[in-house]
Amino acid sequence: MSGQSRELTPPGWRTNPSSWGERLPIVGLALVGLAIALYLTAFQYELVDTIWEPFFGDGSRTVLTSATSTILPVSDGALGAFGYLLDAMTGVIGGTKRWRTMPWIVIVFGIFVGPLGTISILLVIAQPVLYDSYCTLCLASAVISLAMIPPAVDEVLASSQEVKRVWKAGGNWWRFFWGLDSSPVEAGVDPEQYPAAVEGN
Amino acid sequence: MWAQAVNAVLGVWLMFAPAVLGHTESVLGNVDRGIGPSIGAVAAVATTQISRSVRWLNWLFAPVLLVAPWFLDAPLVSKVNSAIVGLIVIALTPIGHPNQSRYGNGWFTLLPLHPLPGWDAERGGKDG
Repeated sequence: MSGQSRELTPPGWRTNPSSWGERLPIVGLALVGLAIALYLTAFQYELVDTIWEPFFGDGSRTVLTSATSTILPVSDGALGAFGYLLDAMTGVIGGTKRWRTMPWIVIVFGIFVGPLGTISILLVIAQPVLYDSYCTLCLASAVISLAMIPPAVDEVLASSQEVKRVWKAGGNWWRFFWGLDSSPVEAGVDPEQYPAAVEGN
Repeated sequence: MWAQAVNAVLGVWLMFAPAVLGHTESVLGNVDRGIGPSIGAVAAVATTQISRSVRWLNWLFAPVLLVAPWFLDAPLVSKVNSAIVGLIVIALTPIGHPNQSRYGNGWFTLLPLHPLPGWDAERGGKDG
């Protein structure tokens, strides 16, 4: 990325957190999580009769048919599938400049990834305490949710820094946050303060 | 990195310790199976430089393991296990100050009064 790094890499950063090399693995994890969650959902809504459970005997069946799993109008598996779908969607939206051209989608992406991981862990805690069982694919889903967090939050940091820079330089950070002004200069920052603009960026 | 990885393994161990040590029926078993995945998740996310700061949450979770055995009925080996794991996690949590220089100097730059890299700052690098 040497030729484009000046334009794509955030100030003070070594690499571009919005590059496809950083984002596609997260999207891939989300799609694996989605597949697992859809399978668990299919069992919960009796579209499949048995559930794959290599380690914990009746564990998956106990957990997936528990009172906790139906505490909401949709099953927890369906909720998880929806969460992974949102992760994958907000992961692919936008190009490799999105950390500064659409900060809002990066923040929304971070918001979807973080709480999904937290909810997964809460469900893992609930399993043995309430039902004395574990569910292999539920644990796998929790691991996937956690693995998505570190690679997602670096992009959140890059976007947040850029919004703060625009704010500090007296630009309209609110319009910049929503991508309504595609560059700091458009958002009202003095071009003198934004050397990238001077270079024709 | 290694310290957080050890804590993550200890957290996973606690998830299965009640079954292995025979205190699934004790309240201490529920403590282990509740605090274990919490510690494991926090430590796993904290293995990377960019999200290392979440490790301090384990200073909230781990002390429960130190205190609970004194008040709950369980086999001695189970109590000792919980307490020792709690001690190790507390001791390992601060190890490995994150280097976030490659991430625009990290999360502290977002705080008021903290400087953040300007648009004229260095970008890219040898492995960038």
